[in-house]
Amino acid sequence: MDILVAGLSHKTGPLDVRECLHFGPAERSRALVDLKAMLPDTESVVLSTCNRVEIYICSHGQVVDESALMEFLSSFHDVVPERFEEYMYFHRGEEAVRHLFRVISSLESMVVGEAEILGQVKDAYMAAAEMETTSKVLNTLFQRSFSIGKKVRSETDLGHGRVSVSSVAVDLAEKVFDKLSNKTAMVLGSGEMSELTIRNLVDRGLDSLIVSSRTLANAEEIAEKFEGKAVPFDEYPMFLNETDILISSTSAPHHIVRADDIEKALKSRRGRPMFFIDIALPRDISPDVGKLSNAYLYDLDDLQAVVSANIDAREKHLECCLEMVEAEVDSFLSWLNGLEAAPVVSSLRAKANSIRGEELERTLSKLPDLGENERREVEYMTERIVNKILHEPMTAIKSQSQDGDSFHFLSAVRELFGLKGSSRKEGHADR
Amino acid sequence: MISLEYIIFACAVICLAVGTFTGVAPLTGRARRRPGASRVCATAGILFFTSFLVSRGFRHGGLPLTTSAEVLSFAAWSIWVCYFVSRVDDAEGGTGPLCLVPALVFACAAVPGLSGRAGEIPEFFSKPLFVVHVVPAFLGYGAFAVGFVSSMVYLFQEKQLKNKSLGALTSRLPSLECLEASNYRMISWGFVLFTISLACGIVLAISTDIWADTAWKSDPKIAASCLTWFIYAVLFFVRRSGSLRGRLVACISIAGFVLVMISFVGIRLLSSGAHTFT
Repeated sequence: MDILVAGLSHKTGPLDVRECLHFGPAERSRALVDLKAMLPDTESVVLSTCNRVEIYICSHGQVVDESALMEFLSSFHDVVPERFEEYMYFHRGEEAVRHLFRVISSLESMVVGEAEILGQVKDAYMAAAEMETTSKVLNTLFQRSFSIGKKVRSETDLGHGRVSVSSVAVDLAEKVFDKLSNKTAMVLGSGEMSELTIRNLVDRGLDSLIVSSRTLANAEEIAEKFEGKAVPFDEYPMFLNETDILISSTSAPHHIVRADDIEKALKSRRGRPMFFIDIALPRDISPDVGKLSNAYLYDLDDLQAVVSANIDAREKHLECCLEMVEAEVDSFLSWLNGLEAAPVVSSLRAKANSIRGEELERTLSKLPDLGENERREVEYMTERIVNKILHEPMTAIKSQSQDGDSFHFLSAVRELFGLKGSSRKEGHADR
Repeated sequence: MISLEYIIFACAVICLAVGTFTGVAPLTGRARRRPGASRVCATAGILFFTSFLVSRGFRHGGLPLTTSAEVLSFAAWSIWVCYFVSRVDDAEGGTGPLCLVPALVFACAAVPGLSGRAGEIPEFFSKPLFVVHVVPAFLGYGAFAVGFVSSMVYLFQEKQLKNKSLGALTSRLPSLECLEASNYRMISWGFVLFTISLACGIVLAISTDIWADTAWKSDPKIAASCLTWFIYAVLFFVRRSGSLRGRLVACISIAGFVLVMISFVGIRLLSSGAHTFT
């Protein structure tokens, strides 16, 4: 058995090249069928996300050549190999297993610790399983990858803390307010960042939204998108007392939200807290607002600092995650080696029993006077002899297969005992 | 020889310690969250603890409050009951297990004293009015202790959010709104229970003519309790009206609990007032 992964990722190839080789859901199914036709004695899984395109192959016969997969990608996507070959990577055997475990644990992701990759790998595997292009080895490999992916996330803080400014802002809002389902947010100005923040707030159950912009049409557009209310810009202070979260991203050259306005709003809110997100440059909200009791102000620098701290915190857990991945790699390889040893063990036993049976039959035919009990005793004796002779070779095979690369050892056993039936296909010996 | 009662109490303390540890350790990020384990320990522990107090009460023929160890164990039980009923551990991250820390401290402090002989139970310990005076007082103290923990966590969280020094601990602790709601709930319960206790205490004093005794008139615990009640009354009504919130409420709640501790432990240890029966 030989496991091979061929692919390219955000670390090795630019976006336009990744786009050329991307497999959509329908294309992925077709690719799996084509791979099966091209490499009949193999298992395959195709993983395609916005950051990586990878093909996992497990060959049970002839070793799959790297160039075969390059040709496949080239012909499937109708792209010349020169366009992408320099960005491709290939991992074989242990390295391929390690690579998958690192990918699913999001150690190879653009944002280390992100959770989406686990679902994406599951989708890729499910698609392959539906197309029946996986079997014992890839089934086990991917099942084990799901458990290591979950383990890394549940037993370490790798996925802890957001790493985008908009999601950090919403996380902070949730540290001030128990739930967002009874809260009102006001957005001053329009812009990509404020829209992203609103989307995050709405996704986490925000109750109502007020949008205000110098151009009322822009405010109405955003309000309509998120089922909010648009108000003229000069009227926004009237809505401050019902605002729990204020997001400001106007292009005003000076502070437009002053501390005295907020102080009044806080008084009329009877001290209920307010959370301010200032994502404008230059800043829209006076820094004095942050000094008020029950007012929490975060500007772009503050949010960026939290993002950086979260990224640093994730990196601190890398070592622990790598240890977990290595342990799982060892465990899988041990299983795989055991799998490779199993046919040798059964062939050896079958051969010994076959010889025993033949010799027993010959001997018993020469001793017709033996009674039933005597015949049984002779039969038991031959069984015991075979078992005793095989005991040490069997123990050695099992021990070698658990220790790691048992390829040469198993080859020697096959040679010594002439186990043709258990031999791996010739090409595989080139590993 | 170790009595069955003492074994039951030891089991309660072990459950309390395990419940506190399984609840608090995840806040440090070095252990996985096991809210189920924490809750199971809390439930088992409260059953052990209640069995211990009921058994001791029956044996003495009155409330088991004759020694400092018994008083401490009763206080630990009260905090535990308040924690259990308030279910503050349902909140995200949960301060609930932190509330068990004062209960654990009281329970551990009671361990050495419980093996000794119980004190003599004064006659009026078995009076129903005395029970209605003491039990709500202890439960009120328990509620104030839970409110104190919520307030401490609130001040920590508020400081972190204001200073923008957000660590992993901040993300594991509940939101400010949740902590404030928990504190207000505990202040409300504590105030109501403490009011019942004081009212019963006054009726008890009048009905038993103990006012004639000058020791009662000059008992510092009565003065401290009245002051405690006054502080929590102000806090309760001001917070209820909504005119005071956040940091200030947390600070007053902490000050109130410090006074509770002075009147509960300090006066008991430092003076020989009429409320001390040992």
